[in-house]
Amino acid sequence: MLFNTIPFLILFLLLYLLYWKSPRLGIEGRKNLLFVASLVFYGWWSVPFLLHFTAVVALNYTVYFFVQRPGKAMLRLLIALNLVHLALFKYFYFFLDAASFALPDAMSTLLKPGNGLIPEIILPLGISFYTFQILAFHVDRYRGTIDYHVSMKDFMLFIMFFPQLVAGPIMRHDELLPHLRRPVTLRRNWLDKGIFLFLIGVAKKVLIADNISPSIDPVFADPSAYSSGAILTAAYGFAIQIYMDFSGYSDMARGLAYALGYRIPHNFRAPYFALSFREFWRRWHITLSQWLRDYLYIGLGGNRVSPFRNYLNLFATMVLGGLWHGANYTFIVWGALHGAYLVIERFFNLYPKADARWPSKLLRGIIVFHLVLIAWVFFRAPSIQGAIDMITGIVSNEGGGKVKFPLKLEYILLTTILLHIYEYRARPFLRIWKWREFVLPVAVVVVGFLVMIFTGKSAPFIYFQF
Amino acid sequence: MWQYKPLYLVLLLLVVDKIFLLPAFVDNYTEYVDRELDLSAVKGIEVVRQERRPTAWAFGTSRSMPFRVRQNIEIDANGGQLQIIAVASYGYVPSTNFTQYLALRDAGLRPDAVFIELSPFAFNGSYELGKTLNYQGIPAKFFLKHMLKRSPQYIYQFLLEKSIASRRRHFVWEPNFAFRFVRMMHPIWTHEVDLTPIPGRRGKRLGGLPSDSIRSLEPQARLDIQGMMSDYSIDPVAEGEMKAFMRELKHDGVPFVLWRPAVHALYAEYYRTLHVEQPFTELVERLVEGSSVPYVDFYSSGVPGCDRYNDPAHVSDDCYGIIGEILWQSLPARKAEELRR
Repeated sequence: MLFNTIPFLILFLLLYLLYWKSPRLGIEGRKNLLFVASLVFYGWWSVPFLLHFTAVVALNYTVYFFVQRPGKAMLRLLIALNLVHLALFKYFYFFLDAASFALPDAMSTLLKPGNGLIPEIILPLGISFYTFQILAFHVDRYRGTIDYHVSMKDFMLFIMFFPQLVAGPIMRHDELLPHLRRPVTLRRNWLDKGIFLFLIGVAKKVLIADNISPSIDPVFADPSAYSSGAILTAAYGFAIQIYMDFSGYSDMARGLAYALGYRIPHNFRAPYFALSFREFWRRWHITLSQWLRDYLYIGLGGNRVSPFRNYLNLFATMVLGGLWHGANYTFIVWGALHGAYLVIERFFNLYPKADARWPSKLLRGIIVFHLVLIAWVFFRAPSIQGAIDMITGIVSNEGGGKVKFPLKLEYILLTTILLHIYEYRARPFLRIWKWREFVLPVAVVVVGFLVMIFTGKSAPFIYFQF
Repeated sequence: MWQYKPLYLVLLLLVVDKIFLLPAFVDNYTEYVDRELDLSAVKGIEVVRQERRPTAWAFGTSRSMPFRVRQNIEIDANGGQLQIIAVASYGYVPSTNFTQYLALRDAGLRPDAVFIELSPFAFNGSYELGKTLNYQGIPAKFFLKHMLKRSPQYIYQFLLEKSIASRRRHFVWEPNFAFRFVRMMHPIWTHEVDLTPIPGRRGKRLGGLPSDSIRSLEPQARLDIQGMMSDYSIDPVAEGEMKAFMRELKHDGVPFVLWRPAVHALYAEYYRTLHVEQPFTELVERLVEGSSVPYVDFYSSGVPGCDRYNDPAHVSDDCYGIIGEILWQSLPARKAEELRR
């Protein structure tokens, strides 16, 4: 179920009323309601996969319950089982394709899902996100940072909490579990903040991202038919689309959580204003980069190894981070590019100086953004050849096709910059917060009206596929 | 009372939504489609009623419209003829085809066979005009009368569209352009003059351009394709309506055939680059699988003996005699006399 749809709005309002206004509804009652809402939210997509998801979470809890203090071997087993489960759904086709040259044709055909031996494999919604969240829980428990008992209901809710269920933010145990044990109260400030974040998210997703997508998709599908300008526009367009789409989802998720009395972490803070790649990863998909740092990079040795090994670890972490996004070589190249950027930046100590002047910062920002943009081309292209065709198409200027957005390009750019300024430095915007009783209804009317006018088919969030 | 703020704000939004009901706003800033469309008054129905020969109704898009000029084919050695009537128009979607069938049936008419065209764009979830046609081309009373025959997806979306005014009427800056769609909503009425049988021209020189003379898609044509085909995914409403239509035909005992029109290789290339083929082929498999409905795929095989095109998206009108014969022959065999009413 998409957040920006009428059925979701109706279900959420019902939940909201029951959640806060049911008489004598204690902590447990509210958690039960949240749990049921989360089941409905996921089950709306697929009931069989809801059962599968619930079983996976319940199995992980069973291990937690019966193994009081997991050793290294148990942790490895848990990690392996969860990763095999993820790989089976997400990477089976990829591995089969990669191994097909070594297998006899008959065997490849037989193993191909849908050909009899193995049924067609559908990627369960949010599997990458919930697998990482479960793994983080087990590792934290192994490290001894979870010093309290977690009930089955709390564990299920921690993994299945519907605002962040399918596309993050990827949460740690201390970001939700302790809060589930305390009574929640409806705070006026949080409610307003929640409504405001939800509106921002809807505007990002429906007004910007969904309007960019139909215009740039054909360019990525066949760059040879388009001019240099069109290809460049499509590349910039995708950079904006993925930011608006994913950060829009995260904003909506945070807004919903606020309205239910919980605070979930930031996932984006003006990523395209980054002055280095290290900073970019502290601003883009923050919870994933923190996860990769804490559970993969540090697990590989982190900074406590030789410089060469350290660079290798950094590079490997980013490549695996790329692979996490999907079973395609394009994601590996995307991760490898970011790995290479980070390694080169660290090797030559290219970090910005604290006292740098603004022209130098601007130049730096432009360079970082455009290198990120090249990586985005690989991320979005259907194949590596497709990405190369996009990049060479900018130089060759062979096709004559043009890109036309339903919204004026300058509006899209202006909105992106304004949102970045807000995320970069929210303080100036907070002055209007004291007028929120007036501002919020006006914002609802304006965004609502624009959504009514511009909305077509709302595309699924890009990160739902990961 | 601040706790109820989300509710107040949603109510406020619903009030704003009602701007889309103001006649001045509707007339100037929405895609205007006849607000009082009354299917029983469509003149073409009377023309269909007067037809005494065996008839096949061809439901579809602009790719079925040429049946109106080539609708007269021999169906047996004794000179029996089949009258093919195009119940089709530019950019149609399955729900409009189904609505037209129900309207014709309500008028007491029954075809001897039905040809249903499957064009990929009509099933694209991103196809904007399709949504307009889905929910604006049917009066509420007519919908209520046949509600249980429609697909659950359609019923849900229809009720939603009727409840929220802004979903029902799509905002446009250029009302004059939108007015063109009014005429599209009257396919039988529009083509009334064409229902007079035209003698077959088999054996004569075929019209249209040979395939090798079409070398490129014009930029405008490319934009059209992008608008209709981009971001391609199967619309569950379109699929549901097609299944409901097929179910109804089976219930009525009307033999029918599904067919996919041929397009020029340039257009087929666009299908490939826009990733149309896989989802559409899977859709066809779902429609045909287990239903024992004949399916004729001109897209893969071309039209035998007629490799000519009006434009990259449409084969020549003169191919429709051949197409009609092939579709007729693909139906379960029966004698023409049995079909006579």
